[in-house]
Amino acid sequence: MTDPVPFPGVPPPGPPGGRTLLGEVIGASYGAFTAESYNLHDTPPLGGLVVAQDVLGLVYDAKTEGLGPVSAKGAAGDADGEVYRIHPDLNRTLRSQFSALVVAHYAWTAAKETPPEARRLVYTYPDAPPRLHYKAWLCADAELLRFTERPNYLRLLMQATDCPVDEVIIHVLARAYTVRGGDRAHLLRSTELLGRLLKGQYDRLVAILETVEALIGDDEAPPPAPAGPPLAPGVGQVRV
Amino acid sequence: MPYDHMEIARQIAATLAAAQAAQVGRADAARDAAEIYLGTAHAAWHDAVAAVRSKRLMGLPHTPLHEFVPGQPAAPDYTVVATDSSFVSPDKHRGAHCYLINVGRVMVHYGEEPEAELDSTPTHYIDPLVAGEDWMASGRHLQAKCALQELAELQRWAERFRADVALLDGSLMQLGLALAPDPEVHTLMDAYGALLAEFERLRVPVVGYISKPASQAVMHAARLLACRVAAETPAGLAAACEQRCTRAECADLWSLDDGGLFWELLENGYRSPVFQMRFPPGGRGASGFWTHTGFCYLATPYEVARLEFPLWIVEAGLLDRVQRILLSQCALGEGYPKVLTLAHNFAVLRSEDRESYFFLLERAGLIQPPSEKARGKRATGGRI
Repeated sequence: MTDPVPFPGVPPPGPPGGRTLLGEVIGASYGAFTAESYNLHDTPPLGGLVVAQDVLGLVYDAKTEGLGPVSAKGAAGDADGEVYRIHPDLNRTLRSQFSALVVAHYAWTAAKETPPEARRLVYTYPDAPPRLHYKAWLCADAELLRFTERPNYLRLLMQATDCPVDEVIIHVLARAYTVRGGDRAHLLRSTELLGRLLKGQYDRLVAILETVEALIGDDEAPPPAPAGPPLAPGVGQVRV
Repeated sequence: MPYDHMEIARQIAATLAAAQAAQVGRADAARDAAEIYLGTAHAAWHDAVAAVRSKRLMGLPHTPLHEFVPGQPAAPDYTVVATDSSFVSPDKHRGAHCYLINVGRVMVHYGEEPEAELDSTPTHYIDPLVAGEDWMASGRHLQAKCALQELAELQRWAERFRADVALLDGSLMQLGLALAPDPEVHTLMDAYGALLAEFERLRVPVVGYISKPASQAVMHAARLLACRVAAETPAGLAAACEQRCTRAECADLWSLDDGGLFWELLENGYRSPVFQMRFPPGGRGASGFWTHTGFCYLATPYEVARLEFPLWIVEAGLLDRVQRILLSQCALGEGYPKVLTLAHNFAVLRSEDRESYFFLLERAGLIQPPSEKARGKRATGGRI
């Protein structure tokens, strides 16, 4: 508790490609954590990979709300966003928050200075949730690449309830595809595991695959559906 | 037996006709009072109020009685600060002798580079509010301490942000406290008066904004001028309307307050003349900062509000700008100055805040055994 550094060995954001500081944790459990952004409307994207202490999460919700009831403040003739100039207090009385499902963590090491890339990435809950008021960051692309290298995060994601888990899956698959510059073979490997996890849920799988295709907007042929055991016949064998 | 809302519905229905008749009576009274006001010369009003021997507080015109000043909302090129407070009072039933005052502070700058600063500053007190644990008197003391702390924080922020106007929620004069027969409250109010003088040094207009004012100061003067006793008997001024008059020509006027009168007199955006309070001679109000304080009424599109301020603002010609800024603030806040709503929101202590305070006191061993009344309420699931 004496170490105020949010993550051992991780410098504050600055150089391109590094982590981006977003806010600080205001609620945490094993399965999820919520952070409040330091800047209004500064929330990570849906399915974005965020980290607090050594706990990795995928964003499933973001919202901006007022300290009290929020009602319309502007007028029909105002330019969009003009209301923030007319009511400067809005920047202080509104707050943005985001929530992430815990999907992995960096394994503990005795040497605190060990950077995350030199630590094991484990796709399970950590021993303890991230501490309240510790900082929450959007992960660097390098971390996203490493995190999505194997699709094992899907297993924990599929266990989540009371959140739009399919949307998170769609966005993280699309993000992993984009950060690799359009690596269809990698996307295929990820959807193979997804097909296994969604065994017997054909319609759901098809909807996810179709939406991923629509989101990445790639003209190439869709990934061939995974075949062979243990997939049920027909699962993933679809034209999208 | 739970609350019987059906019984209340029956009582409302039974008294509805009388209540509606009273509303009509108030509308008639407002027209009569406006006639009296407009039909009285400035000098006659001034002389009558200055000469009367009455225990009532009355409005003495400081600017011409019939001068109603128009105003338009200010353009967004100003800085305004505001404070408000709330408290957790000592609670003998819970065994808590400590108390807490929380002041909400707001600064908003409107202009090319708009910005805002909002926070709250809580203070925990362990000193007894009054010697001998006089629980009845402690409410007044706490109120005086809150007023003093609100003003102190307002002065700090007015200086820090070089505000164009510093706003307080409610009365600046604090007459209820000033006239209370309580030396300890008077000591606090003397400090309040000294702090008020600081605003003149800063040249920042400080204004107390009272929504839906219930003051009768101008109406007391109007009733004095309408009083047949005062007009017809040589000694009338000594006895006029000291009690609530039941004569036909006076009775309706007693149903009206200053807000009702100026709602009839003022058009949207206008302000009334500035009045000074005429205190009973020899009383506490006849000296101190109250003698340098004035008030006027401002008609916003939503209501008539009362403004209380030091008179140096009038002499310095700053009241017009204050009026425009307040009209702008009322427009932004859709009826009530935006910064005052914000200050209230940052000052307010919710029930969970109070519980957390008592929890901290309890953990620190500062809670005495609760009263048997509190025990009884807790035992039946009630809040204490």
